[in-house]
Amino acid sequence: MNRKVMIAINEMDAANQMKQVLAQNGFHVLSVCTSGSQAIQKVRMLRPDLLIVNFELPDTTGLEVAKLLAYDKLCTVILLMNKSQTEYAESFRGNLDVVCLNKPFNRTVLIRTIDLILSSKQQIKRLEAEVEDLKEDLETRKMVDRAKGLLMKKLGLSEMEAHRKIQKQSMDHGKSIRDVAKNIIETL
Amino acid sequence: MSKYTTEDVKKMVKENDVRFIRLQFTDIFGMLKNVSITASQLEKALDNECMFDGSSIEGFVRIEESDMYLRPDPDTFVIYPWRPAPGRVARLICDIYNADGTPFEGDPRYVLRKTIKEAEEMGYTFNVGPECEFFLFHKDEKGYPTTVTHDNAGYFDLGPVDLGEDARRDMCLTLEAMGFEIEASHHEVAPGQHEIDFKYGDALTTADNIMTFKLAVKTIAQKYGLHATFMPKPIFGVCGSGMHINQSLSRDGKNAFYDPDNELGLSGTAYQYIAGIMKHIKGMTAITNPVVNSYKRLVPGYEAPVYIAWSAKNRSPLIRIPAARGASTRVEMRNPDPACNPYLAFAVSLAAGLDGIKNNLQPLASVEKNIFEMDEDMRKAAGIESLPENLCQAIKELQKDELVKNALGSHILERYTGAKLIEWDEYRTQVYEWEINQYLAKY
Repeated sequence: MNRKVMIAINEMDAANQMKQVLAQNGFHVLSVCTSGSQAIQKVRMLRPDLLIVNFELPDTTGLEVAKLLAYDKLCTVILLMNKSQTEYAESFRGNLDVVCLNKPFNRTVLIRTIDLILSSKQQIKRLEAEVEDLKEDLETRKMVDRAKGLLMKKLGLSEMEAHRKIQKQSMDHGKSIRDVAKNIIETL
Repeated sequence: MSKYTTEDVKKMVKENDVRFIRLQFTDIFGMLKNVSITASQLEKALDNECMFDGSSIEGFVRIEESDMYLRPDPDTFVIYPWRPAPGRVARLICDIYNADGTPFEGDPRYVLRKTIKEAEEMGYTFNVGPECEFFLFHKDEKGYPTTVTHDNAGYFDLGPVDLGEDARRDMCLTLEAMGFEIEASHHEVAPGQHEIDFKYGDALTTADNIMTFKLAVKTIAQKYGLHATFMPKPIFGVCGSGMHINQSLSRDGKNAFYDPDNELGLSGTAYQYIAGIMKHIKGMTAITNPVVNSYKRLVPGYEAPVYIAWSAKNRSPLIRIPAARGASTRVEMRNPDPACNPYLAFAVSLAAGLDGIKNNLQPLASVEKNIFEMDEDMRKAAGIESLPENLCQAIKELQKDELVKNALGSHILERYTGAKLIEWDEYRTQVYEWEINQYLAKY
């Protein structure tokens, strides 16, 4: 499971403390930094799955960092904030991959939030891959159907024969069914 | 020639859901300034009714005459590509006018327009192609820029991603989205140093483009957590950043610098132009190399020019004639740096070149040897002079050069030299680390 995390908090002590907690809970903390620019720079280089960023930073706000990274789809962001900042942040968050977490929070909440985010992310990734596979299958099937149709029409083959022909060509030339079908559509 | 009418601008603002429009202009020191208006104020701005307080801008006017008007140039309309929609931001570059409707003398864009007009009266169109170098630096734990570059930051052990290259690629794509035609982009000689070249164009458009270019480069660098700087010489011991200016004149759509019958393929006009630049280069340096730090780039050993000479072969002198001929025949001035105000730099170079043409000046023989290997006597014998060595010298040279002074106009001249002499004085009176290291223990 992907458990690569980065932390950006303006106070080094607090950041290191969080790093310890996360490490104890089995997360791989790639890097800890204290400014927004460093966070952006390191996320681009180290490609973590998740960045935990504080709202207050010395050079910009965590919200700006979160928007930028999430807009470029670089990683999921947990934005740590006070209650008073929540409404403001939520209104600018849009439908980006940013989760707001109110301070103060305890370890359990933090760990559970991260777990939840990472596991749902994992699931989304799996589903996305599945959808991609299905799309691919559908595409292949469509092509094979078209190729079969062409073979039946132009060469007067039965459906079985057409199917067999495509299969045989695929095996003879070591090409995928899809490529063979494509070739037939293009040449016939 | 105009691309857009005011109606087009209004339509584009509406269609693209632009919420804010930045009315931009450049102060005499080359700083980009802007007044932000909401889309609902666009009509008023396009009717040239947008006013601002000129006395707040350094080098503009005194408080008594502070009401100034911005006249947006519709051709310069661009929607910034770096803000995610909705609520997009666009910009318009403006000319500055006095309250009485006359153009403001202290507007660098006006100064350039004036000189371009002079060239037009002589039948020439002035084309310019810049080569702009810059550094990408890391920021520290507080977010302040450092002089640590990506190349030597030692991050290779952490990840294989070259952040600088990624950022530069993003810059090129962004600039293209803003209508730039990028000709080349590459890593430069020094660690962390980059160059992006875009296609030449008429001088006014190109000067506008340079201002836009700097803004885009800085904005994108920020997106990568990096700091982009156009400071001429940020690090001792490595090459500085220059902004070579390729210049050419065309007449009736033909390159006026090209003559296939000449030995070097250069026309009489080209020789005169080169002579004009060489005659006035000392007086122009304060404009093309405008800060104290500029002169730390203009030292031997780092590919930057020091001596006033020209060549069609050698790459080291002040003026180089790139090998391309025909429509691409051009004169490359190698001393300017990206800290300069492009409007003023173009205006003074053009004025100097035109002076050469008007007075039929002839340049000294070209120098094909490496000037850095000649000693002082040899240079003297060849009649090779040096560029000003520091900002103070450059200002003094400027004050001696009537043509350059004229091109700038008395308003800008006065404020520019005044401010630059203060800058020099501040620099001169500081005590530097180098001095402490050298003398503290010794004396």
